[in-house]
Amino acid sequence: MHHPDRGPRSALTNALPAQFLNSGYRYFTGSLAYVLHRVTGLALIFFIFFHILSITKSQATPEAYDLMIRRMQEPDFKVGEILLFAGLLYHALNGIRIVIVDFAWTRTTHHKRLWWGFAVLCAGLLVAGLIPLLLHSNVQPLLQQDILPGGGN
Amino acid sequence: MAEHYISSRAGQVQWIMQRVSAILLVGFAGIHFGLQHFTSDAVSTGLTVATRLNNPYWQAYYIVFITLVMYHGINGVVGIIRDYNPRRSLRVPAEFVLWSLALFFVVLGMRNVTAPVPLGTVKESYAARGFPKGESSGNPPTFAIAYDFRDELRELALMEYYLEHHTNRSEGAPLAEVFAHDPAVRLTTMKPEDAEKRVAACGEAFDRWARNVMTNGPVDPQRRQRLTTFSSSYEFAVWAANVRMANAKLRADQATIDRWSTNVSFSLRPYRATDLH
Repeated sequence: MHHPDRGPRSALTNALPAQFLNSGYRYFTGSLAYVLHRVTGLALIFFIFFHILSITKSQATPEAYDLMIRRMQEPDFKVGEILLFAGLLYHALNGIRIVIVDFAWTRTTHHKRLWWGFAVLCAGLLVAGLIPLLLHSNVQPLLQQDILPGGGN
Repeated sequence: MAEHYISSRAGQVQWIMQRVSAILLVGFAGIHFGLQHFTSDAVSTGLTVATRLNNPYWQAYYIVFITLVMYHGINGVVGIIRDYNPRRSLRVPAEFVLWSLALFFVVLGMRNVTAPVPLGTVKESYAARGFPKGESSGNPPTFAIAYDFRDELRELALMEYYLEHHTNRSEGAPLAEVFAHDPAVRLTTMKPEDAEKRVAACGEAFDRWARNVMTNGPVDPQRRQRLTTFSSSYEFAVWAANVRMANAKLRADQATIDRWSTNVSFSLRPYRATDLH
């Protein structure tokens, strides 16, 4: 039997620190979905401003493009790339969930279950995506040659 | 609780359009991010990007994508503002600024997509100066920052990538014959000097192939394809020879310099931005 999430005793609220619970706002699973969707959405639109501006800068000459790519290889940008992937993934999957809930042709009595299902899917895809992002295993011919002793890096 | 994240006061049209653009964006953003981060495109030079931005189909793709992204993003921020129910004198100017910002970035994005650096200019740039350090968004697993395609092995791997993915090959040997290295042989199991010799032999074999292709002469202009980076093996070989020379000079690889400057009966034509490709 599925017990609907009623607040203070839910998995989410048990995990939250006390100051959140004492703030007067009652956090539910839906609140987490809502806050995460807004935070990732705002982060993504700010990223896109930056992204279009940097593309514009790099469009001036091939040399400028190379400089930008070189900068983007540095570790801070790698962290940013992973955060971007995570944010994009959550925003896209939760967006699909919102559309399902909005346009569902039957009563959706399992909103919270649906969100947790999408959260698990999101976590799975995140881990699956992190492997090529970190290892670049998708470029086997290049990877095999990366390990030349003395050469390369 | 129906989760209408945009206030119901935002209007039915904005509400439904936010969902419609969201569904489209899942596809558009998925293809864009996947291509840039999960395919072999992630380990390529600006030539790959220039090829894409000079392709009318990709230009159309990015015009639609940028417009959808700015609409969806700014409509979302406007929805958030309306959720806080600000007074009209704040809300109206804030929304005006946001939509102006959207228009500005759409125009900027369109300009980037519709007026890219010409492919010939990018080719000429690499042919003249070779590949620089850090010439890729793909990082080796060690998180090493420098990813230097002037290194002969990386250079050859990149040449293989371009010949396979960005050349309309009408003639010439199969890739395995062009690039004499066997992927099954692990270079790490070799002594460093043996591995270096092997790479040098691969470079020599590649130069031999390029020279042979160049003796065939350019292909019939009628058979050239403008949508590929290189319309024939000949175009690729001329470009690759120029890049190999530039890289060899940068890493002081005398053998490759000699091979191209003395043992060739014809001179290398410089690659020009105005050349057909």
